[in-house]
Amino acid sequence: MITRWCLLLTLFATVLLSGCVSSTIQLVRQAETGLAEGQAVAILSRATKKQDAEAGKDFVHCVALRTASGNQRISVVSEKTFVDSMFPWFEPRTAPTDLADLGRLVAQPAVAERINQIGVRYIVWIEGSTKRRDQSGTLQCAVASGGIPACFGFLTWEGAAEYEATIWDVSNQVHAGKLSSEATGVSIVPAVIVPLPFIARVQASACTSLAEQIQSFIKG
Amino acid sequence: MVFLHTTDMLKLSPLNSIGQTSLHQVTYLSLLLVSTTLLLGGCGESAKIKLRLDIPTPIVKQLPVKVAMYYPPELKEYVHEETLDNYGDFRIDMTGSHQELFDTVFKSMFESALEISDFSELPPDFHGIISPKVQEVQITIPQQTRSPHYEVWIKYELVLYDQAGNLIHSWDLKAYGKANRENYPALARTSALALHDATRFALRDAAASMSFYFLNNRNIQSWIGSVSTES
Repeated sequence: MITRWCLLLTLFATVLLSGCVSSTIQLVRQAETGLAEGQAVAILSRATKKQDAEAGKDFVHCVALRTASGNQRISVVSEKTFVDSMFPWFEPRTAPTDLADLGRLVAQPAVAERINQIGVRYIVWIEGSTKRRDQSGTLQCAVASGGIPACFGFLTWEGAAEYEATIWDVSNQVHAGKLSSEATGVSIVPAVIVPLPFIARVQASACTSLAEQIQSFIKG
Repeated sequence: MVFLHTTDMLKLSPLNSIGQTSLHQVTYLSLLLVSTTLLLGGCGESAKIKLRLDIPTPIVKQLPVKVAMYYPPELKEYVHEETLDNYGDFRIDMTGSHQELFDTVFKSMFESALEISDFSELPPDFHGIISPKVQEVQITIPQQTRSPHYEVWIKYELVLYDQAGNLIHSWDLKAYGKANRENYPALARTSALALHDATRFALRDAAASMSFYFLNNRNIQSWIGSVSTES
């Protein structure tokens, strides 16, 4: 009986403690895709001049990990492995910004040979960010004379994760397509003695949905 | 906003009648000490780091020249120290890193590359000497710029001499690296880790620029042309 109550309580707490997140996915396909045996995808963060649009390393790492796992998993070359293998051609200052640049790059025999060695067929460039907005409320914590800490108040904010993935087909030097993932959710932290955080995990949601979309997009 | 009201923490019970500190008093004092340490720690961001470099071998077309590298002692043992007003003292020890950087780049770029400790040691079949030095290093931290980035700029001067010791070309090489503090765990020593990575990225940028733009100069192009013709 006690075990059942514990289970119910845990389930209830899990549902409560994660705030609601709504996700939107958009997809534009410009070319047919598919991966042959031994081919892989490199998932990279696009370092743009607009600093806000530079995807965090942890987000790119999350997308790479999730794309390489699950039933629909595809082979992924990590950003560090790819950028180091291709040094100095994918550094922030030297990375190709469009397909014409990529074409000139792979026209060099040494570069083409290296790409073949690591087996990268597609490059996925990720841009975007996760932001907090509309934050309001206050939360005050104090330690009472009796030695018991207590918090009172209410905090709320909206989290928004907006990311875009541009997919280049390296072998055919064409834009394969573009995916975008938006996740929004409201987090709240009410506190009556004990603060109860109900956090909307928007970045994790955007990561999961983008990774799933990359898998199904690449597999065609 | 989260406020921690500490006024109540100061209501400490006096020493009890037998002169012993109560358990509550010890707890409060510990809390006060921890809070003060954390608060004071937040005021300055001082960092001391020793740079660990990992420069991959560049994929570049090798030039048909044999070049000796001369690294001045101040380049080999370069340490950048800077005090940022209100933000603390910063020390980046780059000992050995520049040598590793230029060794990696020059050995990929040139048919043969050899370090010499004096210009007189140039082997007779070598075509020139290249010598880099650090002119300036600058750092900025997020508190100064209101951006999430730790940034590092390095300005090098490179000088290329021919076999006879005549100046072929001297030029500035500017490198930049940045690291976003949001990519580091909240409780990590963010300033040290991010500054380390920003410096590492700046040295990678230097290697990339060197590999890319070396052949852009006409004096260098004609020197390589003449060397190739002689061979």
